[in-house]
Amino acid sequence: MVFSSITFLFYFLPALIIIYYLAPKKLKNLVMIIASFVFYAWGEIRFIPIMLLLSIEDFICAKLMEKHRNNKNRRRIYMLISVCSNLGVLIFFKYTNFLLGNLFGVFGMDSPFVEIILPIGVSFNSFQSISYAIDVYRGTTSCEKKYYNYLAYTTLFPQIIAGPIVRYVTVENDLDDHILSQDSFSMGMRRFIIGLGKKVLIANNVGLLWSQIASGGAGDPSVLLYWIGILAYTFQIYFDFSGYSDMAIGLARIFGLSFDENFNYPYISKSITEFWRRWHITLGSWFRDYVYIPLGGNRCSKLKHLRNLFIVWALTGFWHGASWNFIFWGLYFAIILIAEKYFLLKVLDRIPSFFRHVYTIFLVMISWAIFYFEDLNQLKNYLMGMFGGQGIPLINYEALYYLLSYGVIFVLAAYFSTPHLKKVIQYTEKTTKKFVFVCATFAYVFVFIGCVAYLVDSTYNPFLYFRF
Amino acid sequence: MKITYNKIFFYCFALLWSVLILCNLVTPEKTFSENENRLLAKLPSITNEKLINGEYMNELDEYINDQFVFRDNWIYLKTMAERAMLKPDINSVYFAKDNYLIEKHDKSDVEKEQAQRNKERLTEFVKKYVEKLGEDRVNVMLVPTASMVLKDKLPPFATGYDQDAYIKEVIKDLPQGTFIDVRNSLLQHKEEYIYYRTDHHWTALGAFYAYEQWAADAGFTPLSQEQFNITLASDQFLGTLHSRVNVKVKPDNIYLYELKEDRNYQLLYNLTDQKDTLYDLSKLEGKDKYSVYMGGNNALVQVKTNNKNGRRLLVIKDSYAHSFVPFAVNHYEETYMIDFRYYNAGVEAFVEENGITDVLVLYNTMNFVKDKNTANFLR
Repeated sequence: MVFSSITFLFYFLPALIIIYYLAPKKLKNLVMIIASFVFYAWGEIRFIPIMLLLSIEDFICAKLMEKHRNNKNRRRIYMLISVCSNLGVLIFFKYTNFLLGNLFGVFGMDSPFVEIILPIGVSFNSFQSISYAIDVYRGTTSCEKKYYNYLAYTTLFPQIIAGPIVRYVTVENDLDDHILSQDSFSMGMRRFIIGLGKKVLIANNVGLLWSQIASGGAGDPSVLLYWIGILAYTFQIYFDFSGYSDMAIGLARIFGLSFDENFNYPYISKSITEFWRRWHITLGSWFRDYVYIPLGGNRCSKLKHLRNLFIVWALTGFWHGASWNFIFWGLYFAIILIAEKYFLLKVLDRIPSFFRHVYTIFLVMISWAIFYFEDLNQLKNYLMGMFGGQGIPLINYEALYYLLSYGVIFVLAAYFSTPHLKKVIQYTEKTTKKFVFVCATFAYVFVFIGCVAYLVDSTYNPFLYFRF
Repeated sequence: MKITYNKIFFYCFALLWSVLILCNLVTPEKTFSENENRLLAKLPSITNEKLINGEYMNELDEYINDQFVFRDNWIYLKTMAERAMLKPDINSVYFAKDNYLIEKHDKSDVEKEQAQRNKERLTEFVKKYVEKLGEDRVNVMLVPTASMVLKDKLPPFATGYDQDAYIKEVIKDLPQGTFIDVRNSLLQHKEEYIYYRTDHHWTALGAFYAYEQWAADAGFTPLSQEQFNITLASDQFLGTLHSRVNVKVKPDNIYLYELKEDRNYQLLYNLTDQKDTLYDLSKLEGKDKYSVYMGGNNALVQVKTNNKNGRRLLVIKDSYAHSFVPFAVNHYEETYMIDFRYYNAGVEAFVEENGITDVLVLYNTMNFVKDKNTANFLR
């Protein structure tokens, strides 16, 4: 199920809220588990047995690690069992065809295509379980004593489809002690509506424009049209994904859980280094804690440090999809980040911040082109087009028409990409002026109604992050 | 009791939410949406297979979405929001000047190969029948749509598929004198009511100007407007373009042209249903009022008149012809209309069996460019 659907907003969520708030404390997690399975089964019923088996295995491995906490070797074995089975499932479902294709390709043969459907959310789910196994192994987290608490954690529906990657420590205490109140409902719902608005009113809208331009359906190309297209995609991917995270965080709040933030206004960054501290934060810190630092991080020779960076960024890219362009996308960032680390940041420090913003958003936009086109020929054409190759005109009617059509949305999207909005929201959350929060309430209700109108109207409602 | 933000928000939101949820639960199921002119999704049946592959859930989502309470109002609200954000078109319909809704034809709507193939088949068809029936007996009319003729009314920078260029290509390929070029006569009258404001068709008046052009090119004297009783049959016509955007607009007028002098028409629909009028007035009661002209889309319609000149016209057409044929029939003893979307029994045999003497191909340009049934021309 997706959050931005009538089914979720008017059947699943209200029913769940009522049952969950009424359920006795001891049964709340059970309600949550059942709800999560219904939610997940809506999109992917076939993967549920595997998910259940994995959760049992991870739970037992963690318990055994705790039991043998004085025997490092045994602990390591249990940790490896847990990590490898999760990785195995991820690799099998997500990368089989890519790996076979390239393997056979090396020998110049055609690969047999294996029909495997990527289960929804498997990338997030497996990373979450791996973090639990490693944390218990390291002893930074104690293991969960009750299986159904662990099951509730690993299947938690707000994050199961598209993150954020929630570590066990984050919700450990909430799982036992749910704090529910009018306040948690109101605050959670407000956050949810913000996310819903980002997704339905902005991401879906600019997404339509992008799919038209990317598929060549927008008429004759021009340099301006290509830039409008990539700008639309830049907004789409941010509002889609951060909107999803907002909705997840808000929902968690409604049910008395608190998730970590996943985005922090990435498009206002003044360098790529800063961008990656603000973009998909839970993924970045996952790779930092479980790959980069174990490899030696930056506390080793320069050569090894470079190697570590390349490994981490190639993997980060590869995690986003089983295709070469994602690996290139990761490596593209590796190169920029290394350049920034060794000299660019020093240069950037000396130029006006306007140019630093332009520098960052420019590189980010290029990166989204790499991210989008799995076919490298299409990517080449698109990039050439952006820079006036192939003799296309600078400006044409199509471009101006789309610019006018989406001008208002672009302006709104640009504004909502800045933390000014956050200040306004924080002000409304803290103020005691009745007038302000009555207005704010109406604003939320207004956004909600707008979203419902778009959802009822539209069949165009795919979640971009479904391929993860 | 202290009023806090969370309290106010809670009560406002909970009230709105529960009202919507309850209304939605108690509203009975609808099977048909008048506004969208389509059947709404039905409650899917549950089977193991559909449950496993997720089809059941998809269908259920669709059902819930279609059946959501106040559906038409939500759609209206969304359109209003789009308009407020200054979008010049919605669902590929331009909000043009003078209260006109005009259909947007994107370049990507047209498959180049299909357009090329259709042109080639048409050319071959015309050449073949010119040989059979004589040089001045075969005519082709591709009518430009409103987005070309009423270009001045479109929003700034609007572009789209170039109908003009396609028509030029067709003229170049067809044997000389066979193409009836109505572009100029329509452009000359573009300030008049020649296209509906809420529908993608041309009006009877638009068709009349095309008919005059046809007469001029073919060298016969057309009937003049004075020879007709022009009556307003409906002033409540909301056409297909209105359905696509669903905003409040002024409805269109439908005019019927009936010859003052007494003419006797005998119509035979699909070889079975007999009628004696060109205008099916019962259609004015329903939504699809344009079907008043010639009774709407049919595979085969035969019209016999008391004009015993021995000429039999075959019109191969789309629905643009329905406004046109009421003028044309008066010059023939018999007129046949066939529509390749529903008729695929072969033209050659038909021409021979019915002793056809004249052929007219009449489409709106966009329909012709995209038509997938043109293979029938050569059968």
